[in-house]
Amino acid sequence: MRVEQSRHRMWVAAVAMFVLSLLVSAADRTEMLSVVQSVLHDALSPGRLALMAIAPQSDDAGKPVDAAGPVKIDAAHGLHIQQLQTLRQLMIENARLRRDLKRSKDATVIAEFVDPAASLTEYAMIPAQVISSSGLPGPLRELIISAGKSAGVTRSELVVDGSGAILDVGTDASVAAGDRVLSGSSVIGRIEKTGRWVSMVQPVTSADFRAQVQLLRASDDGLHFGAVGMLEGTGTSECRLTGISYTDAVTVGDTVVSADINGVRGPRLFFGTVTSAEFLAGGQWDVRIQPGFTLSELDRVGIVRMSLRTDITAVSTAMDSRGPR
Amino acid sequence: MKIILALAILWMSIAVELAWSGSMPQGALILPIACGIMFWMRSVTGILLSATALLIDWIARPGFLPLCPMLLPAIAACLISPSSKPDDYSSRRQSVAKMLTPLHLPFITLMAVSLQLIGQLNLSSMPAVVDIQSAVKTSLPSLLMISLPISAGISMLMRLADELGLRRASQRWI
Repeated sequence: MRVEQSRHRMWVAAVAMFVLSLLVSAADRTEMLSVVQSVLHDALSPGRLALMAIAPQSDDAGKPVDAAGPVKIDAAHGLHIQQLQTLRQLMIENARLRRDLKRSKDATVIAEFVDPAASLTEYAMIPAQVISSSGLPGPLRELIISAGKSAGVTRSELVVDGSGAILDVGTDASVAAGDRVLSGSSVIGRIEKTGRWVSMVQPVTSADFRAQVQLLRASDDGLHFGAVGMLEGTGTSECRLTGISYTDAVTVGDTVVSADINGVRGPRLFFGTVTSAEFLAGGQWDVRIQPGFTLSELDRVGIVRMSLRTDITAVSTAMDSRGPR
Repeated sequence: MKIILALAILWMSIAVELAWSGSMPQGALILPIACGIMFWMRSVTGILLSATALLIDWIARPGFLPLCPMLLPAIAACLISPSSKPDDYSSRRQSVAKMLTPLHLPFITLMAVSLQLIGQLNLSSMPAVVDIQSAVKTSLPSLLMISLPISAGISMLMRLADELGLRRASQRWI
């Protein structure tokens, strides 16, 4: 009797889990789980962050322990061991400082289009890791990244790919130091929600995504900026460009770059390439854009942070206080 | 106490997978551990805890369908539910099914890994042969390379705990 009861309970539990999983799957399709996802990732973050903090330390921690091993030695060797220990500690400290320097360099690598001296704003990139991505495999629905309120991330900040600016042309192609780099960071989306340790990204392909962009065409004469329009996500793997006047020229292969970043002129970030441009009967352009990022390579991203250059404002304030002579 | 320990293990395994999501394939750790907890506890609580953890993992990193939390509890219920037939102690020979009991855990882990891979494919349309081939060639070996040894380890640990009397044996069918 007890055996039957137990078996019956197990099957009830299995059926209940089946139904619950179906309901959760349906809720995910209707995008009702985004709040739960953010909360779940925040709940799992303490363990994840603790593990990530422990992992690099364990590599470094192995070395000084070895030096502390031989205790029973004579005084002459004691000094030598102490020196060795100090040397090892210095080497570890050196490695840590190198790592910190590399991190801080990574955090500030972003191509600046405008002359920094002429700009009141400065841009930095906060690196983050992609924890989870929803939507398979074509339309990316949302992305969860490992940076949240604790890293100072706020809503509506742009998210770019974390690969940085690597150019495959050099002096052979007449590229010289000081040339302006227009692209290098592809826009993936925008911060939609922020948790304490994680943030949710709204990809450019999302139906609610909007950004002001500008067309850029390369010709034999050089680069030419074209019409300014509004890039809109369609919920599929491509985006649409609206607000283009019928008098403006659009061709397949045109590059789409950012016109501004949250209303402020900043670095030109790469959005994608025009894949189709049809002039409709009603005098409207139907322009389709393929986003610049590759879903399979999305493991590290960067959040574009804009801030006011305090040193320039301090100088201008000081000049203002002196007044005209 | 046992439930809290199981919860902590499941939570930590999801956290480990998230921390090393770049180097560890999804489900390599949580699948064998969830299956191990189902088999270790051999109860409704064990099934519910493990399936809930798998569902939470799916919500955190969604694929196309949560096949593991959907079907694994039923497979586990088939394998661990008590038999109403009494054991035949008169003959000293062990039945083949009884002899294969230690292989149940690696078997269910293999099933879980397969379900995980199928659940990650885009099944809204007929999946392309290339997608299936790439999933089998790239994801399956890396998943099995981690999950099967873990499941074999848990299986051996369970056997050892049985021998040492560390596992709860109040259920009549054990």
